[in-house]
Amino acid sequence: MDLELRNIQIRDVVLGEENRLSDGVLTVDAAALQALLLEDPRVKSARIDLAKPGESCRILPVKDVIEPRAKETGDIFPGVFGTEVPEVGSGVTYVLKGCAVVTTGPIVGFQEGLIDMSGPAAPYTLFSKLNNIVLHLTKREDIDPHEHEEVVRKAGLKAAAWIGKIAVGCAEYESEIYHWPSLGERTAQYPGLPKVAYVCNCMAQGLLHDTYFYGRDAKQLVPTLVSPNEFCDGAIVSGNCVSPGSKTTTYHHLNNAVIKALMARHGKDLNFVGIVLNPLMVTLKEKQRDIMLSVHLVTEELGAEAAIISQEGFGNPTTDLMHVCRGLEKRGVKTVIITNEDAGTDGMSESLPDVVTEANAIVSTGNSNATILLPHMDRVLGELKEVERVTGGNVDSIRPDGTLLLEIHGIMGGHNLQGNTYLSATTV
Amino acid sequence: MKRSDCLIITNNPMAVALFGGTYDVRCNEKASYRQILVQVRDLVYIGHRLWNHPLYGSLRPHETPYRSVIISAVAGAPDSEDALIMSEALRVTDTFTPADSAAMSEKIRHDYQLIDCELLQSALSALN
Repeated sequence: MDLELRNIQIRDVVLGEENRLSDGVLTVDAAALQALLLEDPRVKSARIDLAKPGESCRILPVKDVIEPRAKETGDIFPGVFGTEVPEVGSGVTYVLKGCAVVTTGPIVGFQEGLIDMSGPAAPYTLFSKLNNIVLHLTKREDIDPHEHEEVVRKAGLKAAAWIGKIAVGCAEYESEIYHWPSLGERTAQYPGLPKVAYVCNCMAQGLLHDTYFYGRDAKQLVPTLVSPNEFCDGAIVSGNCVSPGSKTTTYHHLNNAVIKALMARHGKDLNFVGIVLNPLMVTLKEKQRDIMLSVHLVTEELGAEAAIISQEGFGNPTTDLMHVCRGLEKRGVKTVIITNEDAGTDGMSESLPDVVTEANAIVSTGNSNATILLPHMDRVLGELKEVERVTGGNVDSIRPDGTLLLEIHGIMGGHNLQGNTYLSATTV
Repeated sequence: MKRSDCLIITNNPMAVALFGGTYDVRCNEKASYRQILVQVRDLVYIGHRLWNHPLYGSLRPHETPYRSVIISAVAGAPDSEDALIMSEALRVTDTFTPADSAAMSEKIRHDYQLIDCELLQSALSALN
């Protein structure tokens, strides 16, 4: 399976009267995009705004962030729309780098993450560095929260796929090749290098806590082998709106940092043998089943000697994380896990809800509960009052002087558990 | 006819309305998030099995006031893993300032109840 990503760097986005891509400037036909969103009869109104890096602008409550992409032939985000479920992961995919579709608008009373385009919160999130096309959607009154979530999720994906098509045929791009041969070939490819697998944990628990694989609700999955190419083509999309700092947005799935790092070192100092997508379920029996199957796939099917596990969510997922780690280590697979910590506002509390002694190599993406004081922003896209109910915010968050006191956890992707952040420790 | 193999311990009144016809639901609306976990822990200590993780979902204990935990209806031999999970859940809960449901609007309470029931529903579906 070979996939060519044709990456086109977008330096500015403007709203205009036609779709156009010229010299790194993306013009989006605002009226046509609005009409596209209103095709869904459940959408009552759709407002489109832009938020650019460095602006005094705050977006909240953010539901999802999606990078615009399109296949040269066929569909991106397979299985989400229509009756067919096309196979993805090969051919050509156009990618609009440097920009994103951001969905906002209340679904339930408590709300989700914040993106500041400048100021002290900006370095915490990838999304402050993007030219964001912000969709503020309201729904028809009779639509229940379940359907409302679906409306917002699909509107974001639809817009990102539609905008992605503007790039198809563009002659100026940077090519990135994802070569993914069959399992037998992969295993035999670099016999002298350690075989490394990646376990990608994903939330699969219920409304606002879900992930979709080829359009299927991940609660209906068992751990499954997935190629890097399928991640790049949107086979995995986010329906998880709760816990913004540690949430994996669709943008994170499309640009999975662990996959990128493993692909970059594949054939050099390691042999990247495969990815297991592991749904994080609610009941203990389902957890035990998925832990067992993840360990089985990494050891018995992929034959890995080392593994990386990335985390999503808060609380119960730590059980899945720790026990997959234990299972792998007990079978001799050296395992590194990536997780955030909840160590209290002072950083003094024990930070993980579950631990095993086998988890002896952990990469921390930060303390969720640390607080940050954010300045007033000139422009707010969404609803500032909602910060009271954003994870990491409370009724006292908005201070009389207009500043905002928030836990890091309230920042969208603030400590992404695939390690896809700007703030990190590196070996020098 | 109610299912006889499990029991739901909750402080979420919506759980009674939605699941009370099919399951044995013990609801104490006045109990806090923590008090529900203590009640479940004590039942686990005397041999009820734990069916869903007590820290299900990603809402933290200082955000949602609601908890609904499914345990076996009948007590057998106490399970040390279940007891450990309950102890850890309580330890984690105690690191947060509890959510104050009295300070919440009716709409927010309703939405937290709804999310709690959605997660409970997916747990019950997995048990069936």
